[in-house]
Amino acid sequence: MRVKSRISSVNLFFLLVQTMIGVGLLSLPHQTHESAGSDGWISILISGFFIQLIVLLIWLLCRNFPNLTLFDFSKVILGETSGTVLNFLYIIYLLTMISYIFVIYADTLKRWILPETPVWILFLIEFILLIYGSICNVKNLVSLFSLLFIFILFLFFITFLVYGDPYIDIRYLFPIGSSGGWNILKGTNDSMISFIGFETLLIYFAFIKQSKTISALKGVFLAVLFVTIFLTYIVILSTVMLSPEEIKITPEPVLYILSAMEIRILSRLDLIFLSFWGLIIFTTIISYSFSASMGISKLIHIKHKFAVILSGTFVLIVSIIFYYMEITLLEKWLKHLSLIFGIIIPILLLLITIIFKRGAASTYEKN
Amino acid sequence: MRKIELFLIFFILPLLAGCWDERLLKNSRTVYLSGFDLVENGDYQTTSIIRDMNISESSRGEISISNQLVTGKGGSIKEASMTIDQSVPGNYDPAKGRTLILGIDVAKGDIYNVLDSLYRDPRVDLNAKIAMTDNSANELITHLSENEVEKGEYLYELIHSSETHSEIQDITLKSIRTYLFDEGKDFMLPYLSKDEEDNEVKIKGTALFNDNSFTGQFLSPDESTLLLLFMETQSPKALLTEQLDEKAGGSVSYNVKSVSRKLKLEKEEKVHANIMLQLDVEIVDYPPDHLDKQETIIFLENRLSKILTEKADGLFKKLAANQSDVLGLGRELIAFHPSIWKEIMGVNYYEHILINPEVKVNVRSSGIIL
Repeated sequence: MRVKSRISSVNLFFLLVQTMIGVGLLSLPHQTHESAGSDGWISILISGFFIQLIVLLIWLLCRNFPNLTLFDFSKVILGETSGTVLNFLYIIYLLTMISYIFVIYADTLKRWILPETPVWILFLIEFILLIYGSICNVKNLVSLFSLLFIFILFLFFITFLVYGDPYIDIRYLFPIGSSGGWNILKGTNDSMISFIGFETLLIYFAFIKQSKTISALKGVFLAVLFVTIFLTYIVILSTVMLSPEEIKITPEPVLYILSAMEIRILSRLDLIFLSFWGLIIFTTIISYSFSASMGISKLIHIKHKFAVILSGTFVLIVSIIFYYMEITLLEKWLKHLSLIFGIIIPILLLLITIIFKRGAASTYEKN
Repeated sequence: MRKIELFLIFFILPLLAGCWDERLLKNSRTVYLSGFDLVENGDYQTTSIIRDMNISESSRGEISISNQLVTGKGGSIKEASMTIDQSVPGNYDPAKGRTLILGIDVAKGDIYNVLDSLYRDPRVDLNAKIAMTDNSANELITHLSENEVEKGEYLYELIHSSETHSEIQDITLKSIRTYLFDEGKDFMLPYLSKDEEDNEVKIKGTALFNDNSFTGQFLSPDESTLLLLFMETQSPKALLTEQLDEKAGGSVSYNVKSVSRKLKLEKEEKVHANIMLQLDVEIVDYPPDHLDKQETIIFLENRLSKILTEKADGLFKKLAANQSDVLGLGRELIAFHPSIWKEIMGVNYYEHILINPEVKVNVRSSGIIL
């Protein structure tokens, strides 16, 4: 089944940036610090570079199947049965990701600004926004995401205010490379999860106008570059503001730094940051659920609208279960899952495509 | 249609998250000033001044402000505030406290024990000032509540104005945490004391800390200004006065406009830190005048350089005796000389550092007369 709507390379940039910048943003400096110490920013740069390669591989895979999403070409590559199984696994993965984002979002809000609000209220808000945002076609998605891109820039600007603080100490970044190459690479492994979101490209590449030309890749490369720079900036900022031992016990360094900022009549900048961050999170949620619903509608042949409601309900139930479960366990799982679904499976698919010379041509034969 | 709209509104109402978390000013008892003490058998005592705003109905909604002094004891700071909460009507809400005072017993121990509970609450004002006193905090706050009208603000303003005059280091709840967790940096806190003669609370100077506890030594305001200059963190105003001999005309006051510091660390037998400080100053008080003459200026520059270098020598001897690395040389070593740091790292690394200060004063301006 070929997709009808078309988007440009610029649109893909917005789609990808909004999907990638998400829930990991707040705790990223803390996580990279655990393994790579003050060299966390190097880890981010390395993972950024690595993701560029992965994205290139995904493109190489998708260009064989113009205008087909993962859910279609998986059947071409693996055959009808195993393709369906893979699609099902991808849908489950995407929905689990959304549940994870739900839980983190609710948990962060509850700890930082809304301690007395019941959790189900927060989940319900997310649920309603998920359904409201995901019942649309890709064109609506693009226009929403490019509008909300302003808020990512806002996040940038809010962090600029921090530079008034006299306690910035750039010596915390030195000596560069002190944690050793191995630890930096281990940090790369940890920071990879904050880049997660690029696997939606398996679906979005189908919508691009000329997916065979290199111009399709330009928007994607720029998006990954943008995300890399943004995350590196956030990590450097936190490293400079807080002493090394301090970051280790501060799960959300960015919020902590901002909550101490005061500009004339404004204080508690973390509240402003969190409200913008919420919008950025929703774009991630919507992007994932859009992709997942697309898969569902193809899997069991229902309308997109119903698929969205189905996936929303599933996510709501799962996230409530997750919330009362051990959340750290989930995090560990998801790190491995995202490596499998974001990197390993696309590479395997690409290898199979090359070896067995599967291509879009074989679909035409079928039809 | 209207019915559906109405139904929707009712449905949306509980989703307005702010409704669940409203905290009305009238219900909470706002704290303006808190102090922490260590009492017998290791318990903590919290003393707070609570501010009440009474809007009286009889006198056309006029607002009258009253203050209440409360104390509570407990095994931890949180337990102590729970004890207070039980004794006052309404919610005891320590979040708004703008000043925190540490009693001397608390300061001599690990002060992080006191602060930990504050960092766990997202509503605490991280810009609150911290100070320590030479007695118990309870006594100081009791004195304030009896003698000062403004209480909480009084101390805040006192500390704030000393900061703008570069007499104390600008330390807030947030910045102190960075120091507490940094192995290569120490800090100093404002040292409050009750002046018996004037019956007033004054800032006596700054208390030197080593790691997380008070060393027992404090610096006079002049010394701390000099130290702040060495740290290059002085405020725009840093006024110093030096006594010259009779012939040179009594005394001179000057304001430091800008500072440039050159720091060289070398490892010999010990780690030698050569610090060269260039001060650009503005003369603000010098009755003999005649600053138009080149020789007067050169004379003043030489004299001031010599006096300040001597003072700095004494200052760094004090720091060395108490192992208080306020200058952050440990961090400097970690960052730029990791090989030296590896040799001396440990709790007492400051023993291995020998500071050799040198101050050079340049007179740049003299106000609107010469």
